[in-house]
Amino acid sequence: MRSWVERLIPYKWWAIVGLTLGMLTIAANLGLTSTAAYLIAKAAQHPSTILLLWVPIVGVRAFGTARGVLRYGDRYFSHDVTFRLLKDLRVRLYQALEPLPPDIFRRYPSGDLLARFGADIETLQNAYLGLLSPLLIAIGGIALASGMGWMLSSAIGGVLLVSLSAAGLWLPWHMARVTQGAGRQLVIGRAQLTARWVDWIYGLADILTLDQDASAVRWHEAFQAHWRTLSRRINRLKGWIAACNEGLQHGIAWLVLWVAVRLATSHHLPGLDVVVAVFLALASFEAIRPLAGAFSMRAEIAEATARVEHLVQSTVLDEPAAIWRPDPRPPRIEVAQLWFRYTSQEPWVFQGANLTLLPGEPTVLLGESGSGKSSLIALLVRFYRPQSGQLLYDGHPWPHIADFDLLRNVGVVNQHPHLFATTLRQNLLLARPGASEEDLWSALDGVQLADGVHKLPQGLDTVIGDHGSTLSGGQQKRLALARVWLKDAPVWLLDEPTEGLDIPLARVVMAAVLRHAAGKTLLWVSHDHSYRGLVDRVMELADGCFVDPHHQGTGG
Amino acid sequence: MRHLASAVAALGLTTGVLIVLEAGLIAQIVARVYLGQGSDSALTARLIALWGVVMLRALVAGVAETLSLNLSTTVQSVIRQRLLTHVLEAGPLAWNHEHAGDLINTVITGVDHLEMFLARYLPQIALTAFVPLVIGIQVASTDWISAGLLLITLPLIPVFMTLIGRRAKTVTDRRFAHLGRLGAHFLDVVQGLETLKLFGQSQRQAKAIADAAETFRTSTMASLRLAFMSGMVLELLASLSMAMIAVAVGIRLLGGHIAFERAVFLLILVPDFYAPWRALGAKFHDGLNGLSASRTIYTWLDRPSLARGQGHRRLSGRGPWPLTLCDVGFTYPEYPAPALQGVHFSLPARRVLAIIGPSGSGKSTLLALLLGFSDPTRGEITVDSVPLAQLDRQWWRTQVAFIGQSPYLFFGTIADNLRMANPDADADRIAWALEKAHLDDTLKRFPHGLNTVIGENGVRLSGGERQRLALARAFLQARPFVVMDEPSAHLDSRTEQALLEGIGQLKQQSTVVLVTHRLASARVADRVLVLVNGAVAELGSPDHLTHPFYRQARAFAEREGTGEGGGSDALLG
Repeated sequence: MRSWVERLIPYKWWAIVGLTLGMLTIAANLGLTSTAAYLIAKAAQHPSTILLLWVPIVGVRAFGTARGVLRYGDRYFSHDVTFRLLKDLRVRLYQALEPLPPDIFRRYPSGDLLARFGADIETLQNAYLGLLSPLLIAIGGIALASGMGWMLSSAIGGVLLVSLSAAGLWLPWHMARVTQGAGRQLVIGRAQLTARWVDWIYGLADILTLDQDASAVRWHEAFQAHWRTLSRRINRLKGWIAACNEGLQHGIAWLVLWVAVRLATSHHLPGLDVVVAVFLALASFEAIRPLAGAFSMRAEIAEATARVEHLVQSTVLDEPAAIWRPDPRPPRIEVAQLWFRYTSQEPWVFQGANLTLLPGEPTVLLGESGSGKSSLIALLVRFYRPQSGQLLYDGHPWPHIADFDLLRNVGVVNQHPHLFATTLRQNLLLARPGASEEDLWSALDGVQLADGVHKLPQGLDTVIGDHGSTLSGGQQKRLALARVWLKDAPVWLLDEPTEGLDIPLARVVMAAVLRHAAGKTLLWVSHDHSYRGLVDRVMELADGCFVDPHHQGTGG
Repeated sequence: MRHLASAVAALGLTTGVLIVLEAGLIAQIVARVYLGQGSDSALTARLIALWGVVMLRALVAGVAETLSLNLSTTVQSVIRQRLLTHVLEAGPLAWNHEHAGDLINTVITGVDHLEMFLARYLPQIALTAFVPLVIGIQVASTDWISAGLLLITLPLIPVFMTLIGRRAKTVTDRRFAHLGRLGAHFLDVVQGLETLKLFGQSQRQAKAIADAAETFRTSTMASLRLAFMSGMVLELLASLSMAMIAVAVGIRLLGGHIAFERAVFLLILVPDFYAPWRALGAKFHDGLNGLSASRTIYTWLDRPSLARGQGHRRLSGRGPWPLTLCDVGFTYPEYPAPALQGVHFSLPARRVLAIIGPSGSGKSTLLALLLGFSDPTRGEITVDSVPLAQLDRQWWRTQVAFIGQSPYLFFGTIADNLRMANPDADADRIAWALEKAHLDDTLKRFPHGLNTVIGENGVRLSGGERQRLALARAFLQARPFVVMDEPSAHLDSRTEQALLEGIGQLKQQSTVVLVTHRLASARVADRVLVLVNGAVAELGSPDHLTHPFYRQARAFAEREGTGEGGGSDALLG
């Protein structure tokens, strides 16, 4: 809750306007009902002139109109503040995620992150709209109603103050405590369900052919059964709250009526005031009506807040300050005595490995599947850090270079490059935001995609689907290659760039890439021999070390 | 449904009657006290009766709330289950081009919105239909002038509601679509965060997300403004009419034309006449949200499954059976150009067919048709002379093992991922499958071996390891048909050799269809099908193919094949 108040500060004036309007709405409602009651009661006394009724008549109309307009303003401002807060929170969530290193970041399944970003933040709209704002308005409303009651009789004011406070504050709070567990579990369950759905949709083909559909349905049924039990528990509580709300609203009026009747029969209160008191009591409940429902959401809000704040507050380990900026010349990259493994639970990937990459001397890296070729690239772009040994960029150790400067100088095709669910153009512009039409086409031409794109009715503006799913595997890889072509960085790191291509095409594409990247520092991870005749320098990764296969081949 | 309707009607009527009773009792008490007529005992009796009515109102409200929420819980649960069943039935081809984030938003947030609609909006409609009716009758029998004033304002309500409602519908639909897009965008960005970082674009995405969130906020406020507007119109109408009635009653009281008790009674009742309308106005937004969500849910549910055949036949024996494709063509619903056309071949049992062809020529689509994820839009696929569409699709899937281009690994241990293929497999069987897939050595490197947890989509395994895990699953499944989409992708030549031995073994009991770019994989096939632009360019045994792509690859392999056995892994189309 504290974080919510802090986030409100930039919008404090909006919030103050909203709260003021909210309290004025309550005041108008109290005014309308009690003035109307006063009007009737006064009229029943048959005053000598109708002019005596003029003020209450005008009052009834004024309060009536004001109530509608004020409520509109109250809702408008309070919702506006809330949705601004939610927008800020979404951006903050992303900004908190963005700098996390992948090994921490990937601990959260993407479905879980989506649940935080989507449903959890949606739940949080109830934190201000349902909880904070009604609470403040209720406190003002209770004071106002009790004050008006006090003017009639101190006993009526006291009854209103005590009963409204008990009904509005203590009871909902107590009720909320009862279902706290269930509310939290609902939020956690929703995140689990989201993560499962992400799994189901992306793994659909495998689910079906592995006959996991029945087990998915079974899991879902069990989950739904659990969810229904939890929901019903909360539904029962909400039923109690609704019953108490309704009962208290009329119970308070009954109590005030009872006190007023006692006072009137003992002539401590004029009959006119009895009428006004009853109507005041009936109207006063409006101030605390939203509270009960709000408190029943408290556990869900608390859990959603915790889940979102957990990410927003997560901090990255302090990096040593960068002390060197690489220039745009292709560098000499050295890997020296590199030891690396992902976690202490996993085997060593590199065990004292040494490698040198030189400008203008493209290097092909071979190695068995799982030998660590992709890990080398992950280390070079600093997604992971080695346990010991050094990576040197023109002789400067990796930690001396800022992330941003390092990545600006490196172009990478991953083993599974991510294509975004947008147009071809946007996917390409990612690599060079200011690229001209000509640049885009020459990159596409270089990877032999230009003809295919020309044939598309919407050309570069064709949307390529989730993960680029409308493209074939080979087209996806080539599009990723075109991005690196456009980026044209001093260092090129290509992880199986020709996967999914036929040999004549693979050789044409790579010949063009090598021509384009002439003089750059280039590493080409390959599983096949299509590099033959294109690249002379070949290294092999085996048992955590780099070896020259020719030396080794002749030696043994 | 009839139960629901009568329950809803009972709720509305009971509430209406209780409101009238309460107003009558309060009016009597207040009038007696005010006019100083009441005896203590009569007042006490009425106060006790009033207490009873208050308790009954509480009871009705509580029961109605619980029941409507429970109803909504049941409906939400059923809808989520139907969505899952539908997604599974429609198969991957139907969802390929969709944003998963959008679909998930519908399943989670959309179905959540239904609660608001079912448990808040619908009961309110019931109250709005019946409570004003009961009160109106009561007011009319008490004082026809007040009833007349109510009647004047009443028709204005539906007029305003429709005017605002029509516009609000489009605005709310737009809001829901924006929410879906926001979620889809976020999911896409999160899944591609590494790629964004590599291009130095990850920080700029904060701006894109801010823009999408801002669009969502604007459309939310647009739909809310309309909802508040309708609320304000109702409030104003209610206030206006209450003020008119109060004044009309007051003036007649002044002249002694109406009894004080009646006047109080009317004044208590009139706000209750409008209260349901006002509440409806306040819940209007929830109602629209729920309706938008339900429209989206039904668009997903109504999406036709691409596999239309609803056959029930099962083939006898254990297979494999001969497979025939007769003039098969396929066109995706969204794209006019056919992905496949006139594909015609037959494959006897226990043979290996390799499908080769340039990138994007329809190879994966052909495999999807064989897997039964979709029916061909032209021609027919037959298994043992029975059209695939007539087969029990569920059964057919249990006859096929599939290794995709990027096999999906489920969250859990390696052993979990293997047991999916065959829950009864014992340790020996699993060890055998691991050996066949050449994964046993790799597993030895992991301290936890089979119990190593692999994360979302198996991020800790290398591409080749994932491929081999999928292969091990296929060995465990031991199905009559095995379909592989580039099984040797990400494999080095030594591992590929092992895979090819594995295919040789699979062939003894299964028919194997594989898409490949590797010459070596094509060479182990009995037949090779060259697919170009969705059509069969050539079909024959690997030694007699004449298609230029194949010949170029072979020539390259022969030229370069003098090295350390490297000739076998040349690439082809």
